[in-house]
Amino acid sequence: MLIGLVSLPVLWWLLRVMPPRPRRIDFPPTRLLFEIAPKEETPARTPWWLTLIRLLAAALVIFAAAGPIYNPVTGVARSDAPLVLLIDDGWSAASSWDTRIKTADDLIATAETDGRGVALIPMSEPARDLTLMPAGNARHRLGNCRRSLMPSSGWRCCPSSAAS
Amino acid sequence: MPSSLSEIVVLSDFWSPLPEIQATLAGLSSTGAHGTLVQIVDPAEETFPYSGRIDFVEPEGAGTITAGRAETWAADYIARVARHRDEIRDETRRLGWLFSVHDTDRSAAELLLFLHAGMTVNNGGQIGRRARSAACPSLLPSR
Repeated sequence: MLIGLVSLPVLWWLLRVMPPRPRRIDFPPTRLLFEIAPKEETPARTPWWLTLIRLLAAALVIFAAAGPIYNPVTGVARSDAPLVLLIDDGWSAASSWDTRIKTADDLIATAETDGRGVALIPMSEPARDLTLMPAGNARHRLGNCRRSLMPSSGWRCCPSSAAS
Repeated sequence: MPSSLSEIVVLSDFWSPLPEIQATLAGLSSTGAHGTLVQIVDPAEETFPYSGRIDFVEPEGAGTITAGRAETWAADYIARVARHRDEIRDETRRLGWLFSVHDTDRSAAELLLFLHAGMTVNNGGQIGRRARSAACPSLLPSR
C-alpha cells in the first residue's frame, strides 16, 4: 500500500500545473482590458504552502490505507513459530482471571491471523499432552478452561515458599 | 432630436469604445444643443484593486478575459483609462461640451454643484432662458 507514495510526485506535478480556479468579477471596463491583455501569460501559481498541505493530506491518506498499528505486539506473539500458552489456573489467579482469559484470547487471535498452531497448557495439569491445534480449537478450549481450586504446580515445585 | 436650446446631461460609465461614444455625441449635438458628460465610476474601476487569477466579465456580454495575475495589469489599465478619458475629453472639447468624472464613493452634491456651475457658465448667467432637458439615461449603456 505504501507504493501509493510513488504517486505523490505525480500529484505534486498536477497541483503545480493546474492553476487555481479564477474568480469571476463583473467588470464594466472589460473592453479596455482587451487592449492590454497580450502582455502576459504565466498563470498565478498555487501558493507553495497550499501544495504542501495537499501533499501531506494525500500522504496521510496513503499511510492510513496501509493500516498502521500503534504500539504493535512484538516478541513472542510476533513470530512464525507455534504459540504455546501456559495458563495459571490456580486459585491465586482467580482475582485476575477475566484479564488472563482476555489476554490469552488476544494472543490466540493474533496466532489465528498468522495461521500459527496453538497449544494450551493449564498449569493445574501440566502433564497433559502437548498438542498443537488450529487457533479456532484453541479458543474453544480456552472457553472451557475453569479456575482450578488446586494451587498451581508452582506451589508444589517450591515447597519452601509454601511453608513461609 | 433635442432642440438647439436644450441643455443635455449624459450620465454613463462611458466604458464603450470611443467610436460609439463619438457617434452618440454626434447625434446629440447635431442640432447645436449644449451638454455635459459625467462618467460615473466605481472606485474599483479607478484603482484596479485586483490580484491573482481573475475572470473579468463584461456585464453586457461583450466578452470575458482571464488575467493570470491581475496585479500586473493595474498600471496598464490605469494608463488606458486615463487615455480613454483624454479621448472623451478631446471629443467634448471639440463640441464645446463639458466632461467630468464622478466616483460613487463621493458625495452626489459635488456632482450637482459641478453641473450647476457648468450650466451657469455656459448660459452666461441667464438661467431659465434656455430650455433644459435632463439626462438621457438610455443613450449609453448604463450600469
